[in-house]
Amino acid sequence: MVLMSSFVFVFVLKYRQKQNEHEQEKQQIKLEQEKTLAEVELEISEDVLKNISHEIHDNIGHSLSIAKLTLHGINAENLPEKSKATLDILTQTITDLRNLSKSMNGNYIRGIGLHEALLREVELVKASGKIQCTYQTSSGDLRISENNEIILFRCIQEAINNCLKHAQAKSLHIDSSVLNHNLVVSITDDGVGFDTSLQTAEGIGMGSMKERTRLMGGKIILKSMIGIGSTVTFEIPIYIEQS
Amino acid sequence: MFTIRLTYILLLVWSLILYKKLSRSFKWVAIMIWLTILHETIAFVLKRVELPNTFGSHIYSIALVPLFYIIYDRFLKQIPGWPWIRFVYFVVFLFCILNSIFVQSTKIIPSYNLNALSLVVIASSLLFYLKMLKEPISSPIQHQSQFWLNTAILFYHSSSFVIFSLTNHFHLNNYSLSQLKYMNIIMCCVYYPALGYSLWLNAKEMNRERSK
Repeated sequence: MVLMSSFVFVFVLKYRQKQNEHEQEKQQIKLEQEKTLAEVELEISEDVLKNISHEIHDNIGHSLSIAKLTLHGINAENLPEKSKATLDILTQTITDLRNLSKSMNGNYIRGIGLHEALLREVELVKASGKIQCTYQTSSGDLRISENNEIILFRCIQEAINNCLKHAQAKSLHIDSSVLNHNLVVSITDDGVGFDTSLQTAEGIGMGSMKERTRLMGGKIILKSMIGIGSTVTFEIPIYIEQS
Repeated sequence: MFTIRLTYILLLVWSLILYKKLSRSFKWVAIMIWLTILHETIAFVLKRVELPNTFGSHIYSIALVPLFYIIYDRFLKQIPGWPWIRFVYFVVFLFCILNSIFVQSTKIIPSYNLNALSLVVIASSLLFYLKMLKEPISSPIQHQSQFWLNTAILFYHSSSFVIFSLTNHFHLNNYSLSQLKYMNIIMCCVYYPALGYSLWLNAKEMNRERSK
């Protein structure tokens, strides 16, 4: 009995020691996660600002300049047609501005859900006229957690931006489906492709996408063949809230 | 003996009250308690008419093997060495049946069965302690139902092993067995209340989980 009591006593002491170590480890992991999350958030906001800046410079600034030039050229003779052209430009600019604002607004994306946000993103890409863009889904209006939706949407935006900037692709296809309790979203282009083993592959936002995907408990798969195109696939675990 | 019988009655009522609130493995613990009380009651009644309950003891000792297996299987499924212990349980189960049929007749106490069972239960219990050390959880150890259950089982089975050895030794040297009787009473007085306490803690844990 004494032996048994001693054994249990030693076990309890040892268990408490392990418990403390475990708690410290958990705290450490939590701190690291918070740090990573803060870094990712900072990176996302920088990306967003950069995106806004580009959009303002390339689209809205350009449209407003044209509107200004058109207004300069107005005289008594061409007043009706020039004013109509200016009105069209301003209407287009307002639409662009509205779309940009929606695309940047996390709360708006949270509200409409990933599926609707992707549909609108595809419309935006199509409207830019730079590339053919299609979107196919078999997952329907499946909702994952709100935070994961916004993070995944930002990752998809990043992948689309990479394609627009670097791939020289003619077409882009986004596919979303459910496989083995995972939401699988793949973005495929027919661009120049690249060597995935090279450092540059990490440079074009891959690191940040990897980190964000890890935060969601998912994984990212990158496939590319030079001259044929690339596919970025996100696999995110679903904790289903079917709407 | 009166204390033990009172403990049995209280434990029976206690386990019946808590049964619905228990987790699956603890429901099996409750079933094991009922089986023990049933066995002890039959033994008590038969003793009154001066009949031994050795046949019942054989059945009881054989039934305990799968019961302990079910209880520990739920706790230790993920432990690497568990498939071996699972095999040992199967071997012990076969051994108990063969022993009851061919070796120790049903007219004597199935000591081989009980000792083999104690050995495998002690091994499972030590494995469970190891698992607890490897995967500590944040709640205090004294509030963990599994800790109390495991401690009670280890205490009971290691003590019964020692008592069995001492009984043999006392028999061989013609010593009085009264001391051992007291040891047995103390062992039961610790084992059953600890089981009851673990049932209560488990019901509380399950309530907390359900309310989450």
